[in-house]
Amino acid sequence: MSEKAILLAGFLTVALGTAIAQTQRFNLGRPATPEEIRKRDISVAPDGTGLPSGHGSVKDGRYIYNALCANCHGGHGQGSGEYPPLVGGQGTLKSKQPVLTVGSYWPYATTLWDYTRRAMPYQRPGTLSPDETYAVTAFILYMNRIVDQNTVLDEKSLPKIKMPNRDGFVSDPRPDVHGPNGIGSPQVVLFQLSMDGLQVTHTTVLTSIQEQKACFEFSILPKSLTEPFA
Amino acid sequence: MKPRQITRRAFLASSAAVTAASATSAQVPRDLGAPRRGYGERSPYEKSVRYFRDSPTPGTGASRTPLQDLYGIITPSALHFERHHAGVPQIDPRQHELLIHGLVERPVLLRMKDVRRFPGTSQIHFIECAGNTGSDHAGKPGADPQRSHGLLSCSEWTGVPLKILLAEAGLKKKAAWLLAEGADASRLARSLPLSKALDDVLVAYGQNGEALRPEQGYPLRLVVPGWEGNINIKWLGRIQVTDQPYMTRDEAASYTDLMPNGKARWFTFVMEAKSVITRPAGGQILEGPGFYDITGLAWSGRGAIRRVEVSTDEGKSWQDAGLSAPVLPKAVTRFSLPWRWDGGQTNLQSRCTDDTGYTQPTREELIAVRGTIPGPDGFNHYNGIKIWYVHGDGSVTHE
Repeated sequence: MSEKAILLAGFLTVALGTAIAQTQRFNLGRPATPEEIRKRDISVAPDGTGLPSGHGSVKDGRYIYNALCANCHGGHGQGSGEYPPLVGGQGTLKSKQPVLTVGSYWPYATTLWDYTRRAMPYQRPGTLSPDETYAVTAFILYMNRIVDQNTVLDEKSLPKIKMPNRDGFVSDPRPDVHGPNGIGSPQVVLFQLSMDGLQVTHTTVLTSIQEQKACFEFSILPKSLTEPFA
Repeated sequence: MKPRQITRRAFLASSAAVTAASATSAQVPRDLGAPRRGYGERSPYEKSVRYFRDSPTPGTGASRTPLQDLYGIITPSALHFERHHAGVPQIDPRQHELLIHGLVERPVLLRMKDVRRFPGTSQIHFIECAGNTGSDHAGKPGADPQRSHGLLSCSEWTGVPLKILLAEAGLKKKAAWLLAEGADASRLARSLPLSKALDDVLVAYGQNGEALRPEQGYPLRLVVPGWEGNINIKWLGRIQVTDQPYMTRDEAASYTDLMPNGKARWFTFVMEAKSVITRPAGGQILEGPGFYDITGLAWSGRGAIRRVEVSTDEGKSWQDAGLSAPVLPKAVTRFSLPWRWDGGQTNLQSRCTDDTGYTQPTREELIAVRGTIPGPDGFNHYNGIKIWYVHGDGSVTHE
């Protein structure tokens, strides 16, 4: 490429960048209405955000479980063949043969509710109503002795349940094991996205392993990430 | 009728020519080849296929790429490994819409024709299942590259940088994570930190020059370069910008790593540097002493491969292998080393170093820290050195 062509290419890039920055948006697609969002949004956060109103009892859950779940997961949640156990194993995580189930391993009751509504029963996912999902969740937690037999779960009580392994997870400490040539110094680049355009720029380069760990420790991440937006 | 008459006349004329030629050099007539066709298929002599086991739930499970049969760095789309949790949905692209909502200024619905109008780009990246080589971690090493390392593939992906779509919707101040959701029957969903979403994530509609294959997320998927396969959400239908990770099953239970102290690691996104010799390798037979071009693949979720070392003497000495261009970040790199086999028993190993300076460890080094007790879905994120054993009769095995 000649020097003139390189200069021209550089000029065009700058001009295009300016054009995008000025128009700021492409204006493609169409606005989503609140109703369209409501129909598709099934997300549930561990603090209960997104849980639909409804309720379900251990008693109703037993009925639904026996009809829809027991065939694969067993009458007592013990699992069978390729289908994982849902019950048992509390206190075994430090042992040589831990039993990892919803009761012994899963950190949030909302995760159980969310996964049940998304993906179960396996052959007909998405068919359980919110009330049925509360009921099945209550029964699985009852089988794990996390709630008692008179429990009725709803959008307020579900996120308050403290699962036995709630504090059993740690953030990623890697690179923790490495070969003879070294452990390296991973870099994490943070970006700044302006509120109304494509101004994506590097803001921070984290070079130490400690900084990288902090970045992905999500108790810290939201603050460090939202600073550029303030 | 007319074209056929012409063809017949032409055939008679050429037959006469063949007859005339035969009189002098006695040539055998050659058959005409196959006609043209709209969509090409490989030679019927090529039989390499993905490997999977039959299961009572065929909609969930994996199939593995035959790495030992591949050349270069690109995995043919038809051989890209599969991992589904609720079957492969058949999606009409005219009906498919991507919803972006949550902590955004302007919730937006994008049809496929809208997505393709944004500025696009193409990037070559590997996708590797978190559970790839888990059986090697367990001490039951895969018998050949397909069975040990076949949950790995590499493609050229074409699509829109996710940061462009997020800018279109406009992020609110509290935005810190997003939840990406597939349109498969189980609505598989994963939380992705915004720092990665605004870095190099692609919303892809193209794979190796054509539309994504249905098994790879047609018509739209996330490509999250260097991170575990599960977070590369296929059949992408919804992105919700949030202020926290939503703790879906596949991040708060599955794909976590149980450590010997009973604690489990989660959000272990990056697939660390790994390599495997694909020829000569387990399941293959050396025809006799002499020259062999040792070749294989190396990759790192943190960046580009800087160095691959190969040992042909059971780890006593290591030689630098050659790296074939292109050597790209978060893509597989092809390496090779010329080798003259003396017919003796030995083993072959490779270890790679990426451009952050990190070097692939041995299995012994890994299990000394991470133990040998599987998590809820087996072992994930294992990247130990793979050893292939060469025997005096030329057979190559995994143990």
